[in-house]
Amino acid sequence: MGALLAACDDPTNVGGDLLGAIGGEPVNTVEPLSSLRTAELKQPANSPARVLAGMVHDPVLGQYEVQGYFDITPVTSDDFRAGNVEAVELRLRRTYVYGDSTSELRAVLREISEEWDADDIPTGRSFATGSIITEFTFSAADTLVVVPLPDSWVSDRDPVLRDPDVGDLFHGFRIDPVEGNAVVGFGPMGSTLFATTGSDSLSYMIGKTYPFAERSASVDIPENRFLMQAGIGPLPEFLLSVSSDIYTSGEPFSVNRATLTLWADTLSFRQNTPAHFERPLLRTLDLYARVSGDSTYALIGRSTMDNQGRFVFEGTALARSIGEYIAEDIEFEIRMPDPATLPIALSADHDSFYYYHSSLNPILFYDAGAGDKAPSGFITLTPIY
Amino acid sequence: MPSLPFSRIGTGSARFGRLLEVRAVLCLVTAMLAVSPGMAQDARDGSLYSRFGIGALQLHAGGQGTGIGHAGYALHSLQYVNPNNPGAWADQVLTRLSAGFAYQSLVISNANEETSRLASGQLGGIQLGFPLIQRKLGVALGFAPFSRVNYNVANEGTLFAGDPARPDTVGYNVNFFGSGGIQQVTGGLGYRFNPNFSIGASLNALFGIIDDGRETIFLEGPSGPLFLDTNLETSTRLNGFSATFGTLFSVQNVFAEEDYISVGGAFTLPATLSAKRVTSLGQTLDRDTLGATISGEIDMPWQLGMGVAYYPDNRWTISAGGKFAPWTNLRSTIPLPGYDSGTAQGLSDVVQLGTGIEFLPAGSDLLAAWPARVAYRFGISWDRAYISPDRNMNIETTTVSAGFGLPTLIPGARLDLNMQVGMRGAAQADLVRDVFYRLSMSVNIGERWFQTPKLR
Repeated sequence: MGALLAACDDPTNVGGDLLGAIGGEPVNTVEPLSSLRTAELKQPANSPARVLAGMVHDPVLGQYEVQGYFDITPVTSDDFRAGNVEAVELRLRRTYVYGDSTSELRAVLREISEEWDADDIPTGRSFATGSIITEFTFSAADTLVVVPLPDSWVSDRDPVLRDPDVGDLFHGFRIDPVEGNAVVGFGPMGSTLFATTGSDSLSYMIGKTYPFAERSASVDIPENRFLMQAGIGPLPEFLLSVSSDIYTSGEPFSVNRATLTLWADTLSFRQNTPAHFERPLLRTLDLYARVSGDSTYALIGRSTMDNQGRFVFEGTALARSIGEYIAEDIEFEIRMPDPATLPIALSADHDSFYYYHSSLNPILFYDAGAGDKAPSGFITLTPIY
Repeated sequence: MPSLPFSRIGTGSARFGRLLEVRAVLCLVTAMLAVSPGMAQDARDGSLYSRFGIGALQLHAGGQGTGIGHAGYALHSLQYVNPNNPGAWADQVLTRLSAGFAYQSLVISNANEETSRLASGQLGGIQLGFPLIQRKLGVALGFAPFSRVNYNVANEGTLFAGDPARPDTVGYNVNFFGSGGIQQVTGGLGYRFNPNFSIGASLNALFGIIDDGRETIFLEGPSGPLFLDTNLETSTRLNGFSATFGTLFSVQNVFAEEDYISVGGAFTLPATLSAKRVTSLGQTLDRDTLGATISGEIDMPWQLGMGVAYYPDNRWTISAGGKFAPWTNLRSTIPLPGYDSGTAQGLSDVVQLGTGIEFLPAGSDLLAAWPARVAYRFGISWDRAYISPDRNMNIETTTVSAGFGLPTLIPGARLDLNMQVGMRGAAQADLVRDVFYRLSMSVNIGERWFQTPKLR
């Protein structure tokens, strides 16, 4: 009897037929996503301080010109303030190249003449500057560019640089490209404004930055593509508005999984990249969602482009959001990772996420008219009854 | 009604006996709690047939009646409170408390000779009886399961998991499970008109919750979690009242000197259960209620139980009996699994028959050796369930039982062990055959309460 009583919990499907067909079987539906619409790109409040400047002709995307605004972080010392400023130079450490990495660049430096705030600046905003301070040339391959500032400017700005309120009195510089075929990024580490007096020297670290970028469509991008580009925008926005019978029948269901897939055109880039031309892409992107009519988006997923050129957004947060709001139109927006949502320590591979907002990295999405590669939603659900 | 033998407890030993009884009860409760998590693997691991209707009706006959084939309607004993017949509650001398626990191992087989093994445990019932007027007017209170839902079955499947460009698959299980049931609390009186005839009546409160669930669980690999499981649960709260009237008639010296025969019967009135059902959907901690609460009523039929017991002498008890209830009259205004609203399709009238024998070698000799004071029992029972998922086939159960009534060091207390082996249903078509092995244990304690010793 003891042996007979010994039983393990083994609820197999024996008897499943006895219960009859009472549901619980999941099904899949494929739902098209709407055409990608343009949403405005804004500089996030906590963008890392990298100065972006230069001009480049991309054979796929056209001509770009980027003016780099940057400010300094105010520091001072009694010894420094005791003497006159004798020399000032910009020390710029290059950390980014978009374009011909062997190109020689020529640029001019201007001082910004108005107060400006780097938080949530819409693209295309410019700020007033003074006359040219100096002109300098460098190679896109140089890792350190030193720009001595003329004595006249040094003597003129000496009181400001030694003033304890230098942060309020001095608004920074702008680098304007003159010629070249690359956009480069400087800093934030290792880039300073270095000033010396007779008794001391100071390094003003790069503070807030903002790239004013313009693209002249000198070439047409391929048909049925949507260009998303850091520094310029726009961001792609799209709708999930399900149409399968199961969603419109009124019968309840439970969403088990949701996958939104956007294909990127990497072939056009690969086939049109000259020698020494560097074009870093936006490889990791975030998905934000909101119910139509809501004012703010919520982050619900992150995806890194796979080796087939797809961004596949999936996960339980996405499934839960779609399950909750599927009866309404859900709007999605693709954004670059906000540094505020990133972990403090990223692996070397992911380190570039921090600087997407201070770059020109593009990605070319296939749009709704691209057939098999059109954006699509794939939903697994279980009918309740 | 004949004078039944019973052991008298002297006032001098009462205090000592009570201590031991308290210890015995504590030990039993502790043992039950200890074995419950380990042996009773899950409250859902029972017969799939319990899914249908309001669950599988439970036979509760106490420690003695279980061992003799649930043939307890005519049992008349001063050692046990008969839970089936209020007419037997009149003749009580001691205050008696009994509580039982059962553990069941179940093997389910289908027509393809596939099997699954499940195990579960449950409280058998609690019974308290005491005399208001010794051997004249008695009271009994009881708690026992009326029906039980405990099933668990898993269907396996494979789903094309990702988008069309990623043709991977994922396995999933759809688990169907149920738990709960209806409990019955009984309270009543028995009155003995004369030694040959007594009657009794009880009020029965029926209440309980039946939970039926279905969960779709995805068997993801290390890349998960990408899927949200679907958990659907229906909870039905039931309550109602019924009443039972019983009678017991005994005649002495029927076939031989000192023998006697008892005939008993109990009639339970139809009952209407109020039902409220809530269906919820979602994860464990964020479950949403689906739709409004459904309310309804379930009309249950009357029940008539009858039995006869023959006592050739104070060593032997031979009992037979059965019950009938026209469950084809079951009507429910809320959906029940296997029940077609307003019709008798799939319903059957309940018939239960049982017979058994008990042998107590020592009879009323309290000084006999311990093995001779053990009660040896054997019984067989057959019943037909009130509902079947197959319209063309009734679900029948045959049970063979054997047991012991073990005397303890405490006068008036017994430990009853019963073993049952049974078969339910048939492995034909979509039906399954349950073979169950059940071990039940109950402790039965008797003592004088509520009586002030008189100084002589």
